[in-house]
This record gives sequence, C-alpha cells and structure tokens, in this order.
Amino acid sequence: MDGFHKERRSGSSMSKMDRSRTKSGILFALPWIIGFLIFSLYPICISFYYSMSDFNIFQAPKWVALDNYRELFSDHKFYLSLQNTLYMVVFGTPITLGAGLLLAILLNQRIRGLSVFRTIFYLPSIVPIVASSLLWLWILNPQYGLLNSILKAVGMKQPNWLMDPAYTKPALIIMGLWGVGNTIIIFLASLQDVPRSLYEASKMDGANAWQQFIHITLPGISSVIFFQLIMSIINYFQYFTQAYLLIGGSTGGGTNGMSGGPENSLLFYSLYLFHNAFGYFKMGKASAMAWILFLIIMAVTALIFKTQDRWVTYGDQ
Amino acid sequence: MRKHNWRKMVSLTLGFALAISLAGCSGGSQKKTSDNPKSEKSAEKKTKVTFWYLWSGEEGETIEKAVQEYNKQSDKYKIDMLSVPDTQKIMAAIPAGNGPDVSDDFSNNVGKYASAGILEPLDDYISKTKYDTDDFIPAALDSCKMDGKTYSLPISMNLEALYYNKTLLKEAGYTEPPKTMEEMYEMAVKTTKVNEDGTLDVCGFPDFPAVYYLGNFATAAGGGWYTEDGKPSTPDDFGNQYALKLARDYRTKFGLENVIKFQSGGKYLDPTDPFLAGKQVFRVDGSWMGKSIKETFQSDVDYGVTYIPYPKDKPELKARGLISTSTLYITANSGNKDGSWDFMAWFAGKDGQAASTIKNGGFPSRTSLLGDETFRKGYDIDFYTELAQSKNLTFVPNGPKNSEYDTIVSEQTELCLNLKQDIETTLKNINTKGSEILK
Repeated sequence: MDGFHKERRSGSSMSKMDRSRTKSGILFALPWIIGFLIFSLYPICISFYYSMSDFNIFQAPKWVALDNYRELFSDHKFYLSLQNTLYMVVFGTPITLGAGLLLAILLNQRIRGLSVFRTIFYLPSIVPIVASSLLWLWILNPQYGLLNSILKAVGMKQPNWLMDPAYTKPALIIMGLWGVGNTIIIFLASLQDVPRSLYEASKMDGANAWQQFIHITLPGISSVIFFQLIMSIINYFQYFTQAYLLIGGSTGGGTNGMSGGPENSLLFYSLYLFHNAFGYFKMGKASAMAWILFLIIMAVTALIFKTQDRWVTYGDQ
Repeated sequence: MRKHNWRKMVSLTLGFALAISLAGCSGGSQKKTSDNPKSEKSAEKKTKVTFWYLWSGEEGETIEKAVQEYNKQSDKYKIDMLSVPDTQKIMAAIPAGNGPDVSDDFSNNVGKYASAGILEPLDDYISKTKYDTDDFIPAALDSCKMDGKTYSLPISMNLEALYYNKTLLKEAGYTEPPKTMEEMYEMAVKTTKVNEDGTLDVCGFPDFPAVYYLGNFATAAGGGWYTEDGKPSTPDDFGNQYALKLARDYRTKFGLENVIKFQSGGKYLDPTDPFLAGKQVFRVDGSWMGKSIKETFQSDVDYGVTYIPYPKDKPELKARGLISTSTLYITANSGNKDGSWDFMAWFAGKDGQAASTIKNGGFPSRTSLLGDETFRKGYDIDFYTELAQSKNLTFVPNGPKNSEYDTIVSEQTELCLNLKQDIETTLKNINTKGSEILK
C-alpha cells in the first residue's frame, strides 16, 4: 500500500515517513559524525596545511608551500627510512603470514589437546607490545640472552642481534613471529570454511596433500589472504613501537634520545617522522612525511586490489 | 508513534551528552592563565606555580624535599610539583598550554629551545631583582646563554673524569692511574681479560657506555666536535683524529664484535653495569658516579678518579674538558612568570642548590657553595673542585641547530668506530654535512 502511494507522488520530495526516518538515522549517527569531524577530518586537513608550513609547534606556522617536500626529496635519511620500512614490508609480510598460515593448518588437524595448543600459540599475541618488546630485549641480548644461548648450544653463530646493523631488522622479524596469534586465528576460521566435500572429492580423484593445498585450500582462503596481506602491509609501513623500544633499551637513550639504531638500521619511516616532529621540532616536515606515506600506502593498496581478480576467489566461486 | 518519538529522544540525548563531554575536554586547558587561590591555608593567598622535573627515583625524592623547603619559606607562591621523566611529554604539553611553568633540562638544549620560543628570556628578571649572577661559575652561566641573552639558570655543573678500577689495575701491576693517553691505552690492553671464545670478560678500554667517551677523549686531546665559535670541526683536527684512532685500535685488537657484545651485556647505572660489577677497568663518567657506586648500588668496586689523560707530547692540554650544566627554565607561555622566577631564583641560589644538587651528589654551579660542608663531604670533591678550576675547561656555544649537527657527528663517528669508514672520510663528512647545518 505504501509503495503504491510513493509511486504516485513521484518527484523530488520524499514522503513524510522517509524524511523522519532519514532524520532519526542522522541523529543516531550524529555522535560518530561529530567525532569524525573533530578528531579525524579536522586533524587531517590541518596536517595538510602544516605540511606546507614551517611549524615548530611552539610558534605560529609560516607558509612555505612545497619546501618541506623538496627538503624531503633531497634528504638521504628520508630514502634510508623508506628502504628500512620496505625491508619490513617485503620480508616481514610473507614470513609472518606464511608462519601464521602454516601454524593455522597445523592447528586445524584433529589431534588430542588441540584447544590447549591453540591457546598456547595465541597467548603471546595478547601480551602488550611494550611489555613484550622489553622482554625480547633480554632474549636477544648477545651475551646473556636466551636466543644466543640456544644457538651456542647447537654450535651456530651467535650474532649481535641488537647492535649489529645486519641483524637488527631480522631480530624484529623474529620478534614479530612470536606474536602471530591473531593471524593464526583468522586463518584458522577461514580454513574451516573450506567445504570438506572438496577435499573428499579430490581424494577420490587421487590428489595428494600438496595438490589439495594448492588447488583447494589456497583458493578457498584466498579472500582472507587478501585481507591479511593488505592489513599486514599497511601495518609494516607504519612500523614504530617495537623499533623505538629496542633502540631505547639497547642504547639507554642514545645520542640525544633520537637514535635510529645501530648505523640507522632501525630508522623506520614512522620513527624518522617522530624524530622530525618531536626531536627537531619540524612539525611541517613531519606532516609532509605523513602525507607522502598516505599516498604510498594508498598506491600499494590500490595495486593489490587491482590484482584481485587474478587470484582471489570469494565465497562459492 | 510513541516508539518513534522515544527513539528520537535517545539519539538527541546521546548527541548532547557527547557534545558536552567534548566541550569539557577542551575546557581543561583554560586553567593555565588564571591564578587560583590556595584552598588549604585559608589565612594566606598563595598563587600557584607548576614545576615538572625530569628527576625520578631517589634523586626525585630529594628534589621533592627541596621544593617543600621553598614552599615553607615563601608566603607568596606555592609550587605544584610533578616528576615527569619524559622530555617528549613536557614538549608536547607546553604548546598545548597544559605544560609546567618551570622545568629542568640541560645546557646543550638551550639553543634548540630558545630558538623555538619555549624559553622565557631572563635578563630583565635578573636586573629587576638584582639577582646575584657573579657567584655563578662563569662557564656555567655562559652555557645558559644564546647570543648573549640568558635563557636558563644553571643548577649544577656536569664535569667528567676518568674512573678506574684500582683492583684490576693492581692485578696487572699498576699502582698509579695513567697520566697520558698512551699510558692509559697500554694499561687498557694489559688489563683486558678475554674468554676462550674471544668475547671479553673484562674490558680495559672505557668503551661502555657506547658513545660517552669519544667526545671527552677528542676534547682532552685538543679537539672536539665544535670549534670555539660553534662551527663544525675541521677535517684535519688532531684531537679528533687521535681519539678515533685510539678507539679503533682497541676494537681492532680485541675484535669489534667482541667489544660490541660486551657493550650490550649490561645497562648504564644498573646492577648489570660492567663498571659496578668490576668488569670494566676504565670509565668516563661524571661527578655523580661516586655516589652511585657507593650508595645507590652499593658496589664494592675499589675505584679511583683522575683527569682524562692527554696525549704524551701535549702536556699543556691537561684536564681539558667540556662543561655542561643542568638548567632550570621558565616556559614562555607560563601563566605565573613572577612566581616562576621567584622559585627559580631560590632553586638556583645557595639554599636551593644545597637542598637539591648537593644532596644528590652533584656539583653546584655557585663558587660560594664550593666550601659548603655537605658538599665537601661528598664523593671525590677535592678532585672535582680542582677540575672545575682548570683553565682548560671549555664549552660549546649554544645555537639553534646543534641538535641536528650532533646527530650527524654520532652517525659518522659510529661508522668510523664500527670500522666501516676511515677516519679521514669521517672527519671530512662531519665538516661538509655539518657546515650545511651550522651556517
């Protein structure tokens, strides 16, 4: 009946009920809208303005147009920080995702005490990042740490994880592996979504475990891999906390509290941004860095989205 | 219909509640500009001054007692104090208007803070109140100035010297501390104890904490990272070359990896500190070290302290070193500058330093306090008093870009000490890159 009435009153004006529905919809969304405007949109816009100014936080910003960006493109530390960050993105992502997937597959088998195992593997990921970073400072200690003691016992080389520039980033990746619990859970859920019938059918056709993995499992969970891939890449591009703590812990404050780790091997993009903002009081330059990072992440994400059709399958495709 | 209206009411209420709470958050920053009368003592009306300081732990407690002493004797101002051992937090609060009126920092940051407009210039207050600045040790007061204007007051002098482990030296047959760099190096090599796998059990060279000693050695050998007028050091600087070579020689001899492993084996001023554990023979540190060793960590290390050595053929350089000071400052956007000045003047005065710096085992910045009883009962006081009067003490003139230059110096010297870059290239890079910054 209502729909019939609506059709008769064709034209721009909505029915009274539609209008009041829209109003209450907006009212319900109002808290979020206000929050978004004040805490998200406003800072975003003003940081864009800062990125074109010379701003030291304490005095009014001075407009300098593209000078900050120009300064960045001729700053070798800018490129170094990008390089370090790309290292984590390119190596950290496949290693942690791969480990998460492998463990999820293992934890998907029907064995005794499965829930105990799942709990044990998930526990590290709920330890707060700061606490676990400080814990790892001792595990990674080259002279007394647990990791090197184990390596010594099996007769392998014991590198200086915290002070040797060639080993500091691998140390971070090892640290990251400890906390793959979240990844495991998500993969576990998606693995269980793959229909058993596919496995049974393929077995009858004579497929072995590896072929099953490649042709059934992977396509089946590809949508989740896609999601994890993007989230992981975005996170690694913004990598900060663990590096900051590792540097602080191993150098005791460093030079003027603004160290980038041994030979700047831990100078990640976000860390360099932080130095610029709060160490050198160059908020303008830091804001410019933030916008560049935003564009980079957007471009990479768009690229991955484009490749979607080639390898990601959803639901019952 | 009623259900519809009820829904609207709920959403409106929620919206209002959120708006009010948001307004309430921003309203808190307004408190800075008003003077609040004290609520405790109804008889007097004292205005409030907020003091945030970097000290914590035992040192922080001493500061607390000192501030309470000030509060008791002041009838105009009351200090609200808080231990905030996080410079970044203070720097973030100040521009937001939520920061302290008074805070402490170090003289090497005066240039950076002053040119950022954080520090209230003090010369007017000094002349208005006829504050006694003649009593300050001249280099200490100079370290608080930039372009001739005073921006902070010095509350303690940071002098550095060479600490040594008497037991370990005696074991190797040495009864006297070294006077020259060459002697020290020989002793360092002889007293180093190496494990079977090459790692160091006892480190002879003062290579812990990692970056600390290099600048001191360069200065003691006649060099330093800044020229007298605050410009970058020249590539042919003898003292810098000498210090870099000394450190590299030791690291080459005992293995770079082993030295670095030793460095990460403990934390500075911590029970795992190698000097406190008797595993380090020489150590460059400051006047607070004696108290730390004997009282704070109650280590049984039999230590001695002497001048940082000079190169054997340059005895005129004896006791050459850099002065830096701990400072107090008033934030430029403080809401109670008169109260801040009154407090600061007291704290940097004789009574204040006696209650804070001296009690913490530090070295006061006032000549008149050098004879203070409590001070003289401290650790290694005779030595440091003599050192403070050395004609070879120097300091770095404050400039706005020193912080950036310091980063370049530490990056380049790190490469050099890690044997990845030779001395010539290092010093050249420091000069070239530094000149772009320190114009």
